[in-house]
Amino acid sequence: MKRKLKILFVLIAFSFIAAGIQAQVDADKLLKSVGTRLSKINGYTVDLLIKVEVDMVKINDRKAKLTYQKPNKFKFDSEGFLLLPKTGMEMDYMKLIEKQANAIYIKDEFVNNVSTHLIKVIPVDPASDVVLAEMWVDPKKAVVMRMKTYTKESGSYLVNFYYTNHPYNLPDRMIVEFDVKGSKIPQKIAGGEFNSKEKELLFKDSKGKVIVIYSNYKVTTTPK
Amino acid sequence: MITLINIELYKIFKRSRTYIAFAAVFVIVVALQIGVHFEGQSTLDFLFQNIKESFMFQGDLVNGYLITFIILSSLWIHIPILVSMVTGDMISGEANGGTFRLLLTRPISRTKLVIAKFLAGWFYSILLVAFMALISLLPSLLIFGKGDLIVMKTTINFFSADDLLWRFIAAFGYGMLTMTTVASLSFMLSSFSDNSIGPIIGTISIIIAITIISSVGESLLRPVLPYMFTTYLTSWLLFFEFELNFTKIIQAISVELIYTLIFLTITLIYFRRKDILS
Repeated sequence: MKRKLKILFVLIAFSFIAAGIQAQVDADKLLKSVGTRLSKINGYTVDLLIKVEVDMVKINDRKAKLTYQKPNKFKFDSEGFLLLPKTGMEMDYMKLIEKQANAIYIKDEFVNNVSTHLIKVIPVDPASDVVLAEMWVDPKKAVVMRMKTYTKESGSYLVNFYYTNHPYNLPDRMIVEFDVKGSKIPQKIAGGEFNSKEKELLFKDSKGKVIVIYSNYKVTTTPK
Repeated sequence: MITLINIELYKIFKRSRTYIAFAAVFVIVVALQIGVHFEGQSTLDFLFQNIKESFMFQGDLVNGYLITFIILSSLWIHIPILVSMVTGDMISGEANGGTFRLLLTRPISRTKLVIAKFLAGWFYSILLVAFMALISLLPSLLIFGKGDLIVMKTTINFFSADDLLWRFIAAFGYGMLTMTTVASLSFMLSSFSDNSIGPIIGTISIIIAITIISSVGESLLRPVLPYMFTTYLTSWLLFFEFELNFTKIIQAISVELIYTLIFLTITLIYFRRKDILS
């Protein structure tokens, strides 16, 4: 009886270790599958509608055109002025996948009603601004549903991606949430409020949000 | 009445000091345009260095609209001086020159004379602001082009280029109204005086003194500040708010109009009873 229990214990322990190794392999594979899907795309142009929701900033929705060229060239064109968050606007997971990084599977989670694998990605390059990224990846479509990135210079930011049925599974909506706390501007730039006692405008709310709606994708792909 | 106004306008535009104001506005505007063209971008970069840690700026903010906005912001103290240089001399100039007795021997009522003089002075004030609007907006837009405008108030407002022309027209229109109030104040002081320097310096002193007192003793004067015409001299900025505050705009326009009427009424009452000795 004792022997049987020992064998059972060893089997259970082995299955856990095996599952762990399997999960580690899965995370790398998962990241690779996202990379493989993206590698088919050489570049694209897309129309953007950008909504900025930041405390103290008032700006109308802006239209722009984004041109992406492999491997990581992003160009924004607009007739008017664009105010964009410094982080999260350039599909940063592409850069992470492209460069060498270690991926660790953490757990399964639902993001926007889609079952995803949460993986932690640690860039190998010590010069990388990104210290750690958490990615929620839909394994069926090989798309990143959510990404939280921790950087050395720009704090952390969260990006949520929304997809419909684009042939290359490119997002049709993206919401970037980022830190703006502590940002301040001298008020007398071009005429401040008369009698105002405020010498500086301080961003009181710590979070900013930018919603980007993508439409009219024109994708160029690698010939098979 | 029209003949009277024409005569007063002829007197205004016959004097060289009238053109000093236009020349001064021209020089200041051109200097500001050159200054912003060369230093505008570096100044903006310096001011936004902190916010640029969080945001990317895409597009050019140094454009014709920004230059016009800076001109408007910079000239609110200079234009009253230039307006009062002419309107402060409208009545006192006649007294100083000894032409009043001769003028009032003509078969015209004192009321008509005061109104004609005021309307002529008002026309000059309007023309000066219109000139400023013209040489600020047109060359700035032609040379530096259109573009979005950033305005810092209690929030950072970004206005699209296609949402700006009407705001500038409204702001310059409001500027005409405030300069009408300034003109009526100096006109009133002019009726009290027999020399031109007093009304000109008096007008500027009143504006500067009330503005300083309002700023320094704001907590003490808060209850009366909404009723002071000086409080609303820079209210053209209300047209550069993201959501227009119509209550504030109407209040500002009303206060300026009421003060104009008060100053004009006092002038009429005083001048009708004035003993003309010169």
